[in-house]
Amino acid sequence: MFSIGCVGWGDEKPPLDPRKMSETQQNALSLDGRFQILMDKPLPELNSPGGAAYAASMKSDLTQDMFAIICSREYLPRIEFVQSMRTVDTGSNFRLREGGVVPWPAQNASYFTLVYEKPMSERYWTSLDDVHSPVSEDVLNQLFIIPMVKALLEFQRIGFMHGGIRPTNIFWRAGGSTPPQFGEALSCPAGVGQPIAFETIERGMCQPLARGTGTHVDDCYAFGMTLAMIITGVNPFRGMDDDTIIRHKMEKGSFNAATGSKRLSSKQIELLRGLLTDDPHHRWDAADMEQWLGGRKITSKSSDAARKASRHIEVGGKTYWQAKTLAKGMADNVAESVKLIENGTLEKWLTRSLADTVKAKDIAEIIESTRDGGGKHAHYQDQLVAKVCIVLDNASPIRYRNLSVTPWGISTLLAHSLAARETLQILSEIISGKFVTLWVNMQRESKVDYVPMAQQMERMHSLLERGAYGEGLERVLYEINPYIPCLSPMLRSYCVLSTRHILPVLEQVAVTGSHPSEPMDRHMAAYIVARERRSEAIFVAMGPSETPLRRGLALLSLYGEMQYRYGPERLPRVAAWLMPLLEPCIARYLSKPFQDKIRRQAAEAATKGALSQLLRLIDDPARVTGDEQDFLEARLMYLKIQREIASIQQEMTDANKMAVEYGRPVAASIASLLAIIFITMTLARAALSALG
Amino acid sequence: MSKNAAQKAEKASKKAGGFKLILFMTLVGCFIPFGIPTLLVGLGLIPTLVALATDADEKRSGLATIGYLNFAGVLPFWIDLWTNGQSMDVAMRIIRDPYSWVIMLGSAGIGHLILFTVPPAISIFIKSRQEARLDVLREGLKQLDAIWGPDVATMAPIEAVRKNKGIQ
Repeated sequence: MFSIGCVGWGDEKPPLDPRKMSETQQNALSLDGRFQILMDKPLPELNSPGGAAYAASMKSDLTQDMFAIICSREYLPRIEFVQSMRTVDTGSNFRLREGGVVPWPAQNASYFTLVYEKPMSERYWTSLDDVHSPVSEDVLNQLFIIPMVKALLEFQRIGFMHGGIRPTNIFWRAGGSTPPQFGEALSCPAGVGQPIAFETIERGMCQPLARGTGTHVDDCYAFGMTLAMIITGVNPFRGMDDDTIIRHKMEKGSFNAATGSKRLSSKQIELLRGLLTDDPHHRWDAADMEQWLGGRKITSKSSDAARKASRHIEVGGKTYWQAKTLAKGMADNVAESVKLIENGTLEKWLTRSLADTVKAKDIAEIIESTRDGGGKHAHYQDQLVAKVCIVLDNASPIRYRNLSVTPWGISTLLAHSLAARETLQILSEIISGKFVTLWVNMQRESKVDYVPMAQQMERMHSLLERGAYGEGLERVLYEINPYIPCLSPMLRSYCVLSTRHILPVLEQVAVTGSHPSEPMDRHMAAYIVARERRSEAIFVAMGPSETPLRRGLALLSLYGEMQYRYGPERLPRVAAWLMPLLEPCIARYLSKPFQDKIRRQAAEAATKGALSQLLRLIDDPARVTGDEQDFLEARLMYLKIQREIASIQQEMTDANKMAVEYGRPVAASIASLLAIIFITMTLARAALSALG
Repeated sequence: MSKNAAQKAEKASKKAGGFKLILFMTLVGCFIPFGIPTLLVGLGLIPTLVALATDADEKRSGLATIGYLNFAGVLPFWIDLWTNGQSMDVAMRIIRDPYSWVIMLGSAGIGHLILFTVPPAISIFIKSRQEARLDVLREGLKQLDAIWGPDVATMAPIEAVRKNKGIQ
């Protein structure tokens, strides 16, 4: 079972008492409860650019030799290929047994981890700088190329681009009985750790993270370069810096740059020429290699990419004869290039010297559209030159403000840039400048294949323009990278790969005590919107410009719903974290005793960790209306009392009047009572006397 | 003075004049059937006549206080006179007896005493009751204030009240 995200949370068993654990158990991490990773047994010889290697084993079968790559936080692992790579078992690739998130309790963190079967041989080359004895053609064909092509065919079938094919990432012993194996490639983005010699000219122009996923023929190119080095026994680019390597390849062509004056057999020349063709449309793929192995002759086609002009053009003090090299020269000399473009020199050169009227026409249109209705905007020069470079060399990456990035590389580079807070502005401008759309439009023959990518970037452009929570660059990141974990600073160290794990991880984060005041940030909002296809409305209410009342209620509503959908039932620490944010919601009730009552009830609900119950308590419309009604009645009562006090005080100011008004009638009453008594007594006495 | 007030004052003076006329007629009425001896004994009602002349109270409560007791003091001597033949001798015996005057005028004095002491006492009693009521009302205001806050004393809209508290 593919175990992404199902490790360590929810149904996790209680940890063992460390005092009762053996030393090995204490140093072992568990993946999916089936694999153990022995952290006290590092295997540096199997380290990958994406992470360090450690010994591992299956808990049910300790005899199987395995190793695990603990992916570092520096790069994002290629999680999207884990599922398919688990099924690939050609014998010529590292057999992936499992990939998933492994909690590391000692670090209070989780890491994405890949468990592979151990390779059968050692690393074939340990350095690209050493000189190796050439391998005979028969041995190479039978023991190296055939199994490797088998693996490449499988990669092509599942749509996987290895991105790390080179002699130092192949495990083989020349002449041995065990087949060669491609090394690890999932722990970091394709192209990271790959020397520029093994990258095509276009990918080589980019920073490693900006190269993007690439295509199968890019792997074939790397395989061709690897073969060239194994055949010749030497790295032809040894000692050269990256710029020199690219220039070398551009000037001579990759095949010539790789083989130089070495003597090769015709079969080998045919293979390497096919694999190292610089035009990706004419480059051999694994199926072509299989045909070649079967003895069929495949004619290498030439393209007009390297067509030379009848006259040169000069930029930055250098002369250029080809559109491809000119594009690179122009990208390096923006100010001078703008003059060439605006004064029409470039169009004339394209029309008269290169006889390419299509490109000339495209450039004229770009000049018009980039001027944006006559007014030159910020970065006009950079944008103009970047677009013209795309027209001149449609296979090249987008080169804008010293950043070279392939359309596929935008996603991986954006992930890194957002984490490192670098080049974000440039990437935003690349997306909003619609360079990808232009790039796709320039891919004449294969334009149809790239249209979905252009459409996606158009959608991202509209997201970029909105700055609310759940939108902006973060949203773009998660939309164009459907498999990356949430990069929120709060969650990053826990490698959250699904929205259902956000709440359990926040519960862990809350324990640390050093968490931010709010359990929400732009990354989390964008991640939830992108993964759950939610409406952005609730996240708009969480923005910093919103009132604390709306923010608190929006947060509680969201997390209450997520708890209801995904659990767990109890989130007391998250609830306690939310409580201060809910204070404005409680304070909205006008009656202070009622506030205290709700506070007490909310504290009880928070102790239980029931977010939905907390929401029902705090945001009950009937209670809010009742409280308002009581307030209005209290106001009337207050007014009535004030009036009565004023009236009494007025009466009390005139004591004499009070005595006259109330006292004298009382006095008269007393006197009349006494008089009646006296009169009655007198009359009675008189009557008694009369009687006798 | 407005026209209404003048009419009221006129009515009040007419009313007072009517009362005096009735009293006068009563005294004359008494004189006719009972004769001069009764009139002589009736001199004991002098305090009441003085009160009649001096009491400015609209309700005539002073006159009533003195008058009732004064009448009660005079009544035994009238009965004495009437039961003993209503002669001048008896009348003179009563008049000459200082004890008679002490009783007749003393009863009026008790009326004065009541009039002097009771109204202030009643005033003090009422004032203390009002103060107690004020304390209760003030306590009520305090409680309302404690429950609802100072905004209960205003007429601001509820939304404005919440806004003042920093809650929206």
